[in-house]
Amino acid sequence: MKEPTRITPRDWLLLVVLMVVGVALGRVQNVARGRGEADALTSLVQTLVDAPAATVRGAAQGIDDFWLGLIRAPSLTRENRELRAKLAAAKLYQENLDALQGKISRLYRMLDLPETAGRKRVIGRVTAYWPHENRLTVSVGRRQGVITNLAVVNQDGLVGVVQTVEEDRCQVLLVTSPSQTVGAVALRDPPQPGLLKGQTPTRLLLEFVDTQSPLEVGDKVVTSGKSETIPGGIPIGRIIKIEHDADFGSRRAQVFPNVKVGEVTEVYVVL
Amino acid sequence: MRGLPGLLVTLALVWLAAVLQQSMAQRLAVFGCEPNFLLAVMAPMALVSRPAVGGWIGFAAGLTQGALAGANLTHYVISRTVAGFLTSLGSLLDIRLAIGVAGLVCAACTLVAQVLFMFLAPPPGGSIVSYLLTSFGTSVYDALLAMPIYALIRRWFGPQTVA
Repeated sequence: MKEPTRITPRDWLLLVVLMVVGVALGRVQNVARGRGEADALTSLVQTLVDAPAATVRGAAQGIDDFWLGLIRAPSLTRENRELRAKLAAAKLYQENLDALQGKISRLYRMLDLPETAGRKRVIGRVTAYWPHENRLTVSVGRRQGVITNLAVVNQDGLVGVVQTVEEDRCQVLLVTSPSQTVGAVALRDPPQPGLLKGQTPTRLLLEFVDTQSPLEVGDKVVTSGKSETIPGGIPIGRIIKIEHDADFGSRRAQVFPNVKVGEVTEVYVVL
Repeated sequence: MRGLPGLLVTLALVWLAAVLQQSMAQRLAVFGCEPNFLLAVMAPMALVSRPAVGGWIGFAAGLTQGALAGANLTHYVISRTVAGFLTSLGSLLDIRLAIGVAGLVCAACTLVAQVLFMFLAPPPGGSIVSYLLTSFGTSVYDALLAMPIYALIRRWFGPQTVA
């Protein structure tokens, strides 16, 4: 029998049904996300795709590295030597840091204060970056002790906050996301607390509680630490513009983030 | 595309596109425009399918992409299902499209999907112009990718529409 050459009511009906199923799937996903988990369908798709994608990515990186090695062998050798020297220095620094953090922890315990210093970190690899969704997928999950709302950092500062956790991976909502809010302080004397919201990949918005607070362009902004899961003092960025709205009596600052999200490949989850 | 072979080929191509999207899309970015492998595969498949099948292919592509991004599935599923459905209207013309024309249709399919997505989930910071420019770049990229895919699919499944 020949196929119909025009659109039939059955086609329209199917289109509507598929769209309704799409809405239903979104609701199921939101319910699961509310519990800090990924829904079963999302987990299944990620499981089916992640492993072969990692293999393809590794192979492509291998080819890149091979050609880069051929072209830039002398400079890579020199760079490698310098990095080894820096690593040795960093190890010495880490020993001092561990000793100091241990001391801080002991002092906190003596004063009966909640401990924030010396928290454990797990290193994770960024397996996917979705700029439109302001999201990263990181290769550590429940098995490594990751739970929701933990801070995710790299050497430049705060990258984002863990939103959903699965067995061996987690989704991180970036600090630049408009749906992300983090307690932050501008480093002045005294420090100026406020609430930081993401806006764009290159701009965050810090709203201050004190509208008369002394602030200057260039001030550093760090996490406030007034949270059970995000420690204080993690660098976020620098103030690039200060706005004062006399009508609403509010004061806010635009902050340029330290982290270049598109270049992030490894991160730490602060447990 | 018809029957079990059509279904298997569809699933295999969507899976392959998802793997490439996850592993290679960022690496192949040119001036900030990345290819969207799922749309580049979805469009030529929809172009040789009946609207109902085109809708299903779009649904599968949207579901896969939304799940990989950990984003709201509704936005991806609706935008891709509608784009797949509209693209498959081309199959009702019952003519054998030239590869270049198929590429243009696939570019239009990418643009439609991305613009629908923009209405459902506006880009952060209201950067609509940059989103549209990036989407245009992606549609050009996808058109180039879709042309050989369309040629291959047409060879396998014939020029006729089929569901």
